[in-house]
Amino acid sequence: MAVYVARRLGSMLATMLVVGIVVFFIIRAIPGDVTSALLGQDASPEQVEALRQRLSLDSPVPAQFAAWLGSIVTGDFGESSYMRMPVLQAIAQRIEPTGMLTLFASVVAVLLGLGLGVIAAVRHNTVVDYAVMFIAMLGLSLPTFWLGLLMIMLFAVYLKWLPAAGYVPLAESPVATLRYLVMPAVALGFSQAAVIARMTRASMLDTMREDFIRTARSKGLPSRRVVLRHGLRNAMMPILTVIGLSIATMAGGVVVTETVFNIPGAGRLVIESVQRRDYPVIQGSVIAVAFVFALVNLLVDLSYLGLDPRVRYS
Amino acid sequence: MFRSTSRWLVFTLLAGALAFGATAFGQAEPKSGGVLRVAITGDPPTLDPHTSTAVIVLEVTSHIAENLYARNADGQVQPMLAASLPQVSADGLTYTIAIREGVPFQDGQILDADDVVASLDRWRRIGIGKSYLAGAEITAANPHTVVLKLTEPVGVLTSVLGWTEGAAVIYPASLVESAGDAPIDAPVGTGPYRLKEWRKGQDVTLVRFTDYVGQETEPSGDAGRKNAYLDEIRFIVVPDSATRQAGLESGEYDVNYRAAASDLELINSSSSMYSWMMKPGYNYIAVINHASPLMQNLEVRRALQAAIDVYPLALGAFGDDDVFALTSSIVPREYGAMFNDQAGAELYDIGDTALAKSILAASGYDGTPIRWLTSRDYDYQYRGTLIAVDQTSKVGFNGEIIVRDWATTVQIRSDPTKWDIFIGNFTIAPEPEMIPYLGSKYLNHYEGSAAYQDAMKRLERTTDVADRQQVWAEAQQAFYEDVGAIQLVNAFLLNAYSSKVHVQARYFLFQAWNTWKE
Amino acid sequence: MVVAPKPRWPRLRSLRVLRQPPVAFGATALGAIVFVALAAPLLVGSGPNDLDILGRLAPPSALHLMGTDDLGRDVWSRVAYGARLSLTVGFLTALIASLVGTLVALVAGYYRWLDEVVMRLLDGIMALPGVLLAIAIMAAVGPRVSNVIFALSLVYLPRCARVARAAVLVVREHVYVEAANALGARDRSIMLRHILPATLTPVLIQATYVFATAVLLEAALSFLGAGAPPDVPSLGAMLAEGRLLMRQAPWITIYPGAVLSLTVLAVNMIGDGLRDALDPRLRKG
Repeated sequence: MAVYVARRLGSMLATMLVVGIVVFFIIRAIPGDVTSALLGQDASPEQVEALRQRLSLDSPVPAQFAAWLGSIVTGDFGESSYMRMPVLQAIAQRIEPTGMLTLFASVVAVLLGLGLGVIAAVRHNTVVDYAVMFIAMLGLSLPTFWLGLLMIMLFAVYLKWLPAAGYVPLAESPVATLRYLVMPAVALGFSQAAVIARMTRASMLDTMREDFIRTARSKGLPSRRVVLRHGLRNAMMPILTVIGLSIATMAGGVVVTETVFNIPGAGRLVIESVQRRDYPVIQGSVIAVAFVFALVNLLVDLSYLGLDPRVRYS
Repeated sequence: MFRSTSRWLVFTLLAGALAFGATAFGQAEPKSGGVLRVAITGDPPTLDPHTSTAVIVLEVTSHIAENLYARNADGQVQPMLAASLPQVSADGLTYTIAIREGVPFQDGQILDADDVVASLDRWRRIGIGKSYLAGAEITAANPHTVVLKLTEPVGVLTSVLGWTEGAAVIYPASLVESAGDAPIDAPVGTGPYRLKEWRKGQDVTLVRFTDYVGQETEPSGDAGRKNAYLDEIRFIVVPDSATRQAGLESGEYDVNYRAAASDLELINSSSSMYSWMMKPGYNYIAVINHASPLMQNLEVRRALQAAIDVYPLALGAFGDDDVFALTSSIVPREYGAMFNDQAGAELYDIGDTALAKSILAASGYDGTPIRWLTSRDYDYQYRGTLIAVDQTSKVGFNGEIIVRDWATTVQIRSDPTKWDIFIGNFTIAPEPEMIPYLGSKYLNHYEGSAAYQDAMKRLERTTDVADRQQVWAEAQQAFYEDVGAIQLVNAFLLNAYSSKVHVQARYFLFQAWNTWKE
Repeated sequence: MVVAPKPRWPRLRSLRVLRQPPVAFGATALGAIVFVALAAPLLVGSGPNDLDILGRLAPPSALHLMGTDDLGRDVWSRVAYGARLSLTVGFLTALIASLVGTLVALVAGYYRWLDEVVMRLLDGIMALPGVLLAIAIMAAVGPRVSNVIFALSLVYLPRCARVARAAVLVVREHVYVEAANALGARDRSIMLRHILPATLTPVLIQATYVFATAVLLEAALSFLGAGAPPDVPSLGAMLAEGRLLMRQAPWITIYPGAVLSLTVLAVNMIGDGLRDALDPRLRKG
């Protein structure tokens, strides 16, 4: 077990390194530099050149790469060229909205997905099943940003029930945080709820055909108990994999949702940093996102252990 | 032409209505206290105006730090931290500036000549001061007098010292020393508000500086008395304009800094908010790259000039004809003395397809595509370019639109071999010498005709206002005849305010002093 | 000289799948959209980039079926051409990503020494959120339709390669491959005749999924301003433009969004049907 985790961590680090190198060279192929964001719209060539020198943007790429690699292995992510603060601090101050959004969206996705999936499986081949499957299909097909825009129109502009966009930190008012996150979480979570619902339904249908379910039913156990205790529990492994993937997908996909709802999160930070050519922040945040992605996958794999004692890792 | 005349009439009426509105607001009884929540478009890149000319920087920092001089609403320079206008020697080389006494900085130090010397020195070392004070000696004659000794006359020096973009603000000497050339993230000034916190990428919070000692003259423009009614001003970064507007409507923000023109009607029809046009805003202009061989052909430039029909172009670019004004004057009316809508006016907004076709036919244009450089990060650039290309193609030009994100656009623009025309908003300045595209050092590489060069040279050495007007009229005429650039419109900046916010003296820059909230 | 039962090339069990209502709906809808996209020049009154500044923001009418946008461009015309872009990008991305993915999987899965290296690299790319990766690539290579397809193909390549690789790994261990090997068959022939067919079904199913999500991702990229060049109408870019005018001119946002959703919905429904028909083990029951 410990060996397994260690090996997984090792391969995770290798992946991170690949990510870092790929990103390093892609962003250096992008024309332009941070001076365009730092100076005004009609800055003179003199001003630009002076700033370039001050920021030593003219050093050759291989030298930059060596320096970056040297510091990254010691855990130093460098300093933002635009914000002039450590990259990790820049990311840290933008992480709460992204984290909360992903969390809420995950709750929406998992509750809605599991619920709809189980209902569809139980009501297999009925109108309910078809309706649920159609909703799931819609969820897979509606672009999150269009869904978000329609929700803003309806709930914020027309009905005025919810704030149109923005974010309030938890520390200021948890209730407000919730109000602000309802629409984004639904917009972001809906498509993943669809994925989870489809997998839940399929997995449940497989499981419900198995002998032990028939046995449980024939023992006269109440239907709900059979479905939840025996059916869902045993159908859970593939569902968990999908949930893990979904959460990782959402964490990566927050960019668009954050844009639509103007949430000052880490996704926006990356977009802004690309526009500003703030290389250290792009590198740092992409590696951070990739790390979360890999970590979620690891946790999912490990959680199999708890669900199915037959699974052993060597 | 009728169209633009009637448009002017509308603007004049509108301006009158605004002025009336302003007095009406002024009569209400001001109340102290409260937090003003201003939704701004983006994080300021710095809070140090010495290092940036970005408008967002100056509109935040003008509350914190002050210049020696300030412009009033009529475009005249008034003393701010200086006790009076400078004494200038007869040869125009020596400026003696008296500093006000007993003015406290927000860190408790008291302003003296050393602070001014240190700040001006830094401003000319790393800021736009380079163009005006290079080689000058800046010394403190006594604790309250600063002397500037120039190597050659600079007609616009006082004006520049009172200018807001890339402002020559005065910091304590100790701060200048500790900061060196690096941008200052925690500025300390003499202004009515001091910086409480800057959470980069999120918000900037200013609180009232209770020991503020300012001018006692009537508030006007940047000059005069600054009453700090509000306890706190919070600039909140909200890049998306729909979100800013929704937040203003829901009461979450008090000011939508840069409302979308498309929301103007809605704002004006609501009783809970009002719009406020920040005039004159920017000069929206088609800058021509004179280093490009194609653009060196005067007849080609003249054909372009004749092809452009300004009104539809600006309407498409800005979305509402209340947010721009057609003007042939390169320095707008609001900026005072150098306004001139006569010189070259016959070459402005021609929009004559037949004329353009005939000029083009005689020009020897061989169909080489004109490369229009633009960026969608500033939507009005892109949309105006689309329309300009459409208009010029009807005359017989081929056009190629190069659309990149802003950082890439900036890089391409710095390479004279890669573009021909760039349409964008350029900072307006009160003095022609301060307008980058009129000089030869800018990236449009504009030298100008002999007549133009001669007039500009004379202008640089002229201090007397009436003389300057004369010389500038000649230069502007030559600029039009030479098609140095294609003047389009003044693009206003639209801000939207909650009706609970009352502003006593209106100016074209965002200010939260002399402002109170119900 | 039969060595072992060879895997069969995939085959639709029957065309009856088309009679399932969802598939029929999807096929009809997609057919209609493809028709509009192909016949766009014949169907629209004015070009998608024709400006009419003074006729801007006109509501839907007989002249402009879906109204005009803020530069007076005909929304219906832009939607038709936008659908063309969506379908082109979706189809070509699915094609390229699955072809290259299969190739990578065949080579990596068969030559084991390559496998580890290639898989680490693909894992690395897959660990990057697709939107961010695509944005970075687009910023580097510049706005062109071909670049959008390139960027999206790169984003989806690892997924396709993984699916194909899984199939390769299963088949590789099978008796007939070992037997063919023992009989001295050449690597290339083993791959083509024995391993490739086994990968086709999962890859084809994956490709429909890539098609649908690539359409969405293209729209998202354009929505964020990092997609196709602005003179190529894109549904996502139209949403971004219409967004500021949702109150005054909702038609600029609603029609492109609806067509975009319908396109993806249709592809997904057909994909589901295809899945059922090709792979009975995955049948929904």
